[in-house]
Amino acid sequence: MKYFNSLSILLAGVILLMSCQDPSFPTPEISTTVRYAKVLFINASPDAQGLVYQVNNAQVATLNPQNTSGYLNVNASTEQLRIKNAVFGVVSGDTLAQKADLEVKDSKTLLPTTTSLVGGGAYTVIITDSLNRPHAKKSSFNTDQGGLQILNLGPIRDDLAATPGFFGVPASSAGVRFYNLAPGAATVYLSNGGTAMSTLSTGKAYRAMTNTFTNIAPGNYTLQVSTTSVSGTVLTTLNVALSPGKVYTVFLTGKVVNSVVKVPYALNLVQHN
Amino acid sequence: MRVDLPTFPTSLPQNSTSDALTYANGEKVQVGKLPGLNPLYSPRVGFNWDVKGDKTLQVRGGTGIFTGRVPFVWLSNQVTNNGLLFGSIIAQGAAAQSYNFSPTPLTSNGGASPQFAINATVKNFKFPQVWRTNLAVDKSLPGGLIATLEAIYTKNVNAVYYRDANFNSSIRNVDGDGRPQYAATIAPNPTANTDVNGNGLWGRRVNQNITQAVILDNTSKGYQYSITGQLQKTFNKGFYATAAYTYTDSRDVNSETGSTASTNLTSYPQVSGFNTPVLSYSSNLATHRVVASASYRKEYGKFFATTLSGIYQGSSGFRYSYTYSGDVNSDGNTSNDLIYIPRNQNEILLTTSSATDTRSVNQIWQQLDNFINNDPYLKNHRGQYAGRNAAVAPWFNVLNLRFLQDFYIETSKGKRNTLQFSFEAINFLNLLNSNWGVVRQPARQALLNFVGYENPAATTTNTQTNNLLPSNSYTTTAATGRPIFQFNTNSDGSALTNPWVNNTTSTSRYQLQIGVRYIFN
Repeated sequence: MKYFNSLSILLAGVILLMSCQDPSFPTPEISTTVRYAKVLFINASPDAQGLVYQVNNAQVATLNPQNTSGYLNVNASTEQLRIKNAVFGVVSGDTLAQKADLEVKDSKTLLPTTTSLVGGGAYTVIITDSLNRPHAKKSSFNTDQGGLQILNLGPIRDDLAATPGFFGVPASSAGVRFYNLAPGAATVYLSNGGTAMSTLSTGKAYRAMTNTFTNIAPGNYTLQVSTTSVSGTVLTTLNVALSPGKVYTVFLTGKVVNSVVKVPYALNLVQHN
Repeated sequence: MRVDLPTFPTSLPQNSTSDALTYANGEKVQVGKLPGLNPLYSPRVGFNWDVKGDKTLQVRGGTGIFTGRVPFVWLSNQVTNNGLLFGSIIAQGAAAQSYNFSPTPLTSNGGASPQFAINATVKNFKFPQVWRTNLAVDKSLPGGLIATLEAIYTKNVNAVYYRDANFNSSIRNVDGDGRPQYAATIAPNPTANTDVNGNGLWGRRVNQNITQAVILDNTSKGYQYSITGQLQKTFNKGFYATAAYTYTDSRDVNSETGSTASTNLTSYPQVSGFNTPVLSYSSNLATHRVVASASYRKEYGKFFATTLSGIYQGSSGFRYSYTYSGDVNSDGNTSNDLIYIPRNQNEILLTTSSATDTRSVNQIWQQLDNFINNDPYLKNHRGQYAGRNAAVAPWFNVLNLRFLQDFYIETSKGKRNTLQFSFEAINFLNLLNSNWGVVRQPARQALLNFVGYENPAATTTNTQTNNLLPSNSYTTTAATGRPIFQFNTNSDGSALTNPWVNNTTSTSRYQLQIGVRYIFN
């Protein structure tokens, strides 16, 4: 038995020597920095009170008509944007979401989106239209079930980091882009008002999409929206102070049904930087 | 002493095009050359010592070099994948119109040079060799028991692994966990070597027309050891029993479970890139194993004999690896990246799985955190990369029983002819209870879906001709930022909580088998 014990100890020692080699896994180098995208939410609907905006099912803003959220930090890449009980879609890499991936809810339109969120990028998500917008007929119902919509089927890339200036707007100028977001409104024009009135945006139909900024000298203006041309009937005005190097979105809200104004026109201003 | 001298009298055709190219680190690859004449020496020594001279205590052991061979298909891959027999031209739209179908082999209608893969072996390739040492003690114990304690240690001298000589080095490290990140495109940027952030803009391929240059090479990394304790006893009256326990550890750089070079190169999970052999657990490693068997045979009534025997095997579960679904390191392979196991929510960026996913990011993290806590390996290795084959499925038990009924007669010359009926219950425990004898397997090895980087790469379609393939894009700005992942629910929308599910194949089911045979003598 003495020999057996000795040899057992010897064997155990050999085994211990053998087991010294750990797997050579590399050591991770961890970074917890988050390169957020910035997303600005706008409620341009004439009648959708208290819209709840969610990013990945977490509430980020509650907005009444004509209100904006300011830029909010959102993780980059593919993120789910949802307007609770209204519309929702998924931001995915440059492809339309498949219809099969979308869920019909409360007979509202389900909106695919067309771009991904990039870290450091800035985006604007604009909700338009009326809660009771009629749905499309027959097969078109599948893609247009009435109600609220996201302008441009997804976020608008604001690209605030572009240099020099923003969207080619020189640092000494202000930049203005204009959206007609009043359902039922005719094509409208935006001018800077005053005696030396000049056009800031030529005729814009409802929801006509552009991302072009018009340069304007910084200063105080009474912006006005008119029909037919910049010298046509003025629908509404807005006093603004435009600063150099800043870019703004001006959008018209209101609601017209059969040429009757149901919700008064209003001009709204959002400063992006 | 044994000497092996593998030779390959066959001469292979040369590929002057690929032979002339220079690969990563200045390497030259010749597909027409099989391994050279490398003698493999295998000195061995062993002993068997009857310590007391009465056969009650025996010590035995030995040490030496053992030489084997690789599956020859690994070598014959070089014969077919030499770039001479076939290649591919990728064209679409109008560009594809130049390539009408031609029934004549080995011709094309012109246009871009074909792309092809090559396989080769290093010039001084050696067949596998290990240095193996064993030491054992056999001891007779009171009551007729025999105890054995045995240790075996094996160290690789010449193991084999694969690498891609046409695969470029990394361009940066992935933000988030720091693993090497490779180029977003196979083509290099023709006008710049780095982007505005200093990240490399070379492509994944060194030579554009070579899809892969898979080299069979040697490494000395890898070892295996085991220690076994065994008790056995032969009783009077036909009863025999034995029980043994074995502890094993085995590490290698590539378990090479495939037959093609490409599969062996890309199918094993890794972190550091498939050109960097990293030691990890072998795929078939069973760390703990218990085997017990017993049999009893009774002859009676002059013509009858009954045998009842059983064998039990209990073992650690299958080895497996937790990987990402998607190409986190941009090496062109979407299933071979081992995960980083986050310690907390700050260490991973998560997002919803679809438009219909109703979970918030916090809820997704809670589900992932819960899953990590439920898997002992993940739980104990937070803050690390998951190891290849490092996770282990639960212990499983298998008991097989066998009943034999013999009817025999003995001739006048003392010879016995037997008619034998057999009844076998394989995985008998599962017959007793459907929850017993069940093998568990990982519920989801590709644990997380890679969605993209915070800042994706910017690429440009190539319109230049300097060594770039016409249809390829090249990178203008490398992808940066942390990777973003999805942790999917089960198909019914419930959270994935249990790391393992039942294996539903015949391995986890009982089987009954009857047989009859006649034994002549």
